[in-house]
Amino acid sequence: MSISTATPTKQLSAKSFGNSLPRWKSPLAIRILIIALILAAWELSANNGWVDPLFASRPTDVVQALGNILPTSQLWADAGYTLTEVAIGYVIGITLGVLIGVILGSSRILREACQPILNALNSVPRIALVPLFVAWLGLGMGPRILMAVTVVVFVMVTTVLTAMSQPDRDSMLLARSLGASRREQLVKFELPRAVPVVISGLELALIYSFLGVIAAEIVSGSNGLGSRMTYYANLFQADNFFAVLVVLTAFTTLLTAAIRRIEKRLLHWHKFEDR
Amino acid sequence: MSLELEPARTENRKMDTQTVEPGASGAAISVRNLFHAFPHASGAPMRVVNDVSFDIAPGQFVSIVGPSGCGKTTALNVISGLEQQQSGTISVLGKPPEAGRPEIAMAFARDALLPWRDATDNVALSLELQGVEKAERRARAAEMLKVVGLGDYLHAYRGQLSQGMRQRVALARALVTRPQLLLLDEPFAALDSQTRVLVQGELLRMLDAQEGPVTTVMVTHDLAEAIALSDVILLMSRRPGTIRETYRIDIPRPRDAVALRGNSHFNELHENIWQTLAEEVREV
Ligand SMILES: Nc1ncnc2c1ncn2[C@@H]1O[C@H](COP(=O)(O)OP(=O)(O)OP(=O)(O)O)[C@@H](O)[C@H]1O
Ligand SMILES: [Mg+2]
Repeated sequence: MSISTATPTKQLSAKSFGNSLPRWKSPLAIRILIIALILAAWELSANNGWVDPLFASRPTDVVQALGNILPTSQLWADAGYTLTEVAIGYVIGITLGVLIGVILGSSRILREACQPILNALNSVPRIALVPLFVAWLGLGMGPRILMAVTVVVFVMVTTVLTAMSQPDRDSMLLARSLGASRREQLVKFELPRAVPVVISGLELALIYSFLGVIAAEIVSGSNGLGSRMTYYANLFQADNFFAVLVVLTAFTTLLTAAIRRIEKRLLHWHKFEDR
Repeated sequence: MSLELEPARTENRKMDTQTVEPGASGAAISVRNLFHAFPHASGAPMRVVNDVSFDIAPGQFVSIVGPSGCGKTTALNVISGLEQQQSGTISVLGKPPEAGRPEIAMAFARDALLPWRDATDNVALSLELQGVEKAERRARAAEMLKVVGLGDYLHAYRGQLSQGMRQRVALARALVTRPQLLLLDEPFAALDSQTRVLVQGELLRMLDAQEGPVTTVMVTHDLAEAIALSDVILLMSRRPGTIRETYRIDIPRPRDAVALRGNSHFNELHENIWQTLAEEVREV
């Protein structure tokens, strides 16, 4: 009844009996069922005139639009443009973010000094800055990349700080008893412990990098998937709009899955941990 | 039967600290007039360790027992250098206390294994921090794990090991550096009573397997454990702790930690020391 008795039972069933469940009870089957239900409801609503297909489109139309735009070189040029921005913004953002996070995480005074500044900066509505970024960097990739960076940096700083703010007292005591230097404490004890949290942060940061880039694209410029979506929206081509959205989501999902895969490799020990 | 035990009883009764080993100059650890205080919740200093003095001869296994909160851990941490010394004179292997000396190893109640390292690399950690080269430290770690019966678990991660196995890895990590001094703070506290006795046996085997003599200081709650392992038991009073009694345990070595339980001499010693310990515990 209580949580303490419910938890082990749940783990047990997930671990040892997960494979013996009937097929249709698998998470994948349930997932597909949910998606199918939503798509069916959408299609039905559009067909029965509960929503206006002109603005809301409908799944079959989106599939058709996908068939139309997927072969165009225009779409792939836009996709390449967006992905480049996302990648550059991501790499710069996480590098800066991890760097700042580790520095702040290893110095308590600096952390206490800078935390309010970071919080204030992070609460700035970034999207409002896009016109300024355009004024600085022109209409190309620049402002979009900068936008992604300003979002990703904060995600990573917060992640790294969270990860490092939970030092394990036992292993710190061990580190001192083994005569570890400050640097060794960081490299051999604190940072490895932070890795799982940081990796989940990397996943989040990727999504935020897309978010920053697309937001900036919608507001400015004419290249990239975000701009393409604005273009279709302005022409009331909801089918095409959703088709681009599907392409975008496919990219984010694929890349996130790739990070998950790397995570599994890197954290092979993590699955043994009960906490 | 009681006649037979008479000499042992008198011999184990109340010895002056000096009689533990004559001549403090040759002592592995010498502590004189150690006091220690912590700021109490109210802010006023609270004395925790109260004028503790003792000598430990090289190669001896000494246990410190006493009621909870009497300052055992504090005293051990001052000796190890993990806690800043506040007063008194301490000599540890001829030097003042300092944390992280390579000839001193420690183990605690919680194993503190690093979950991202397998058993071998956890044991090798202490060698790694001493700058031992990779191939050698791996080989020595594996060898040590075999000594504690974990030869089949060289590459197991923390999450794959039972409590008793984890604690054996932690002890292996301490002993793999071939320390001259081993400082243990309730190293078996996390184990159930049966596993505890088994791992105690492992510790004795590990100490026997070491090349040179190893001096050991172990803090423990468990009187039976102290008797089974020690040459000398220091009994501390309740807080602020001071050494109330010193007992010499004359059970011959090599000892079998498992077989000892139930031995009548063992039981007699236990009863004898427990009388005094119970007084301290009861009055807390
Ligand atoms: N860092 C600290 N700050 C303040 N008080 C402390 C600190 N460490 C220990 N104390 C106090 O000192 C007293 C002795 O603690 P210590 O850990 O040495 O006891 P112990 O004999 O090891 O007890 P136990 O057998 O329960 O482990 C306790 O009352 C504890 O509250
Ligand atoms: Mg203690």
